[in-house]
Amino acid sequence: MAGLSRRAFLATSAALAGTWGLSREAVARTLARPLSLGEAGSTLQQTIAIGPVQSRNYRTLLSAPGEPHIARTDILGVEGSSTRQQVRRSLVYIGHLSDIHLMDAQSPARLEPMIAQNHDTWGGAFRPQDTLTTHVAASMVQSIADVRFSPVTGAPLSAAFVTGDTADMLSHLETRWYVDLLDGVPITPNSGAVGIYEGVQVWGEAYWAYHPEDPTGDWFGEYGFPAVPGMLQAAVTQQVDSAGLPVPWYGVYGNHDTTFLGTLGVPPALKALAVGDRKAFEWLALGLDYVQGWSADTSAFGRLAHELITNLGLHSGFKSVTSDPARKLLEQQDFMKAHFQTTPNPGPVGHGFTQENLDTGRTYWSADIGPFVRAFGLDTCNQVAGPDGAVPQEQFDWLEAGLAQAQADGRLAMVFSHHNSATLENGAALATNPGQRLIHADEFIAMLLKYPACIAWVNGHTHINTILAHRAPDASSGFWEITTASCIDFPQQQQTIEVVDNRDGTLSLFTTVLDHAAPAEWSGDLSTMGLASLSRQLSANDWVEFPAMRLGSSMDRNCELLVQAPFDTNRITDAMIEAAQAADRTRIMAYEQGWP
Amino acid sequence: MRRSVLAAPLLAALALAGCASQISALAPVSGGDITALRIAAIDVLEQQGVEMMLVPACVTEGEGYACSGTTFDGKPIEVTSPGTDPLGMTVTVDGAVVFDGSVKDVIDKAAQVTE
Repeated sequence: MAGLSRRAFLATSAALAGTWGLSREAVARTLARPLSLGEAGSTLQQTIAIGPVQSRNYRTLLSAPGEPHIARTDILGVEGSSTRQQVRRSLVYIGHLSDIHLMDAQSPARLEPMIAQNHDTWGGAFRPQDTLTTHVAASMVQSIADVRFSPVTGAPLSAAFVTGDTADMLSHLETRWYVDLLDGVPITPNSGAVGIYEGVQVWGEAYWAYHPEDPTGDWFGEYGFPAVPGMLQAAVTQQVDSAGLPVPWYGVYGNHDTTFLGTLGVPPALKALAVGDRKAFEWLALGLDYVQGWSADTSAFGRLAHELITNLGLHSGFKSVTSDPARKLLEQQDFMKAHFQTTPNPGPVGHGFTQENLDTGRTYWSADIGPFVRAFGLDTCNQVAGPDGAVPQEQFDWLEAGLAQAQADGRLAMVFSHHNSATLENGAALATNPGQRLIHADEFIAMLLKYPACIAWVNGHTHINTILAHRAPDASSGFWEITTASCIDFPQQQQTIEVVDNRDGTLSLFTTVLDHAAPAEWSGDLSTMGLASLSRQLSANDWVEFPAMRLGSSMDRNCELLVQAPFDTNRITDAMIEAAQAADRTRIMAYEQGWP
Repeated sequence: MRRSVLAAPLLAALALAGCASQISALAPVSGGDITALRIAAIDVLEQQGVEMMLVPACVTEGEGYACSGTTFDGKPIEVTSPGTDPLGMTVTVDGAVVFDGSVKDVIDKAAQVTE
């Protein structure tokens, strides 16, 4: 601990030991050791490639060589100094998850049959890996836990951020599973009947769905998807254990956390369907049932729509299932409230949301992450139609004031939202304040560029690894926009981001992509990790989407992103950094020992 | 990035129920083609050993797309695509064509797809 005096070191380690209920000697011993590079697997060591055809069009996956960090100079406009590697200091190291899309695949309030109407339009309504989302999430949490020490500097992880779309279909159960899995609480991802899968993947009428027991004759069998007997039973009956995140984690709204299928409004009939005892296997019956919800008013149009539905007599496309009140759909504030039903560690209770958020209904927040960084968690969802987002004027003004304050405070600012610059284009009126102006990508980026303290905008939504440079008009500063892939679609990757001070007037943001911890090649294993591995393989064979594209380019994955430091970083002493890292290292010790 | 026409009865019912906003809600997530173009262009440049100071950034241009960047030694990188389906692109460095072909083929190859 070169930066801390002996007295400060002893005081710090004693205080941290007391905070976490750890042995003072053990903490002192650990903190006295120099940082060593994280040795756990990331895509620096190994990647996963799409492999050869196994059957008809169906491909398996293979392990492939790792990818080193590539320096990107788009914002600096010049090469970084050659000495930076020897002198750099870690300022913060964080995990970034997004688009986990936890799914209660047995819920009646799913739109799976709509893919029979048009697979391109409704691709997100049914995926063959729908029952395996909790297994992937647990596998990804394990992966984040595995990289709790930086592969670049050895710095400990400080926090993790989840940029929305944690639930898939606005379900209480899905949101519950999300909080529990990130907290390390075991779950059994089932609903309805105990110990039995009830849903489209065992119904012969659903010819458009993947039937893992025997896909012969369904769309996926035609494509070459394999028979996996026992998959569904294993998926819904086995307990899913999660390592839990080793650091405090923070969440923001995604469109799937606020609208149905991330796109549609929720009519009352759909709420009833969610907790009811019938589930659709025909798209027309389901579509008309949905419409009926909208036609439940007494207007002339509504009555006519109701007549159409009744006369068409298309309610036969449903089967009976076991109802479950736990499947109820979220109201707008329920997503925030779920973040308060959490374990005390890793915390924080509310995960970014505070009592003030609950009291006021405001759905965005800010939080200091260690002594050098301020995080801003936005809600770019409009609670209305359409998958894309926008920033309401009120939130925009709040963020701008916050960025100005961060700059004045000498803190680096990182902005977290669900939507990215390609998708911040929703013009639908804000449900809670229809007259409020909505800010879209160009204006939002221009505002961020006014504040050099803002070094990163971190987001998701498109399920594609993407890193874009945004440079100030005078080229004196800029920020990096970092978008991660998802847990639901191939390649099922997330990432870590580390901010380091190069001590030459520049910072580097190291982005490191993580595959989830399950093996690249599925061996037939139906354990949690086996099912996660199978999910990744199934997702790589999505013929409607473009799975390989979602990997992004090499300039979107493992990168060193250079940017001008917004202030003189000499004001940050080594002692300050080491004290901050001591706190994070001790928290990780507590995690490794099972939290106090 | 395609959107189908809903079958007539459902479309009629949707319209009659006054939920045009719900139909428009089926619009896909923005940005797929332009994102694919950018990825493929970078893949091509990487494969050809072109070191990039400014990685190509892409914009919509009429029906198609255009991207521009620079090499480490200051040469311009230009990428154009007519936006047709299937998506094609032409990549030039300092005015010389270094690639002319399919976006999808480039991306599939970069994912190390083995035939």
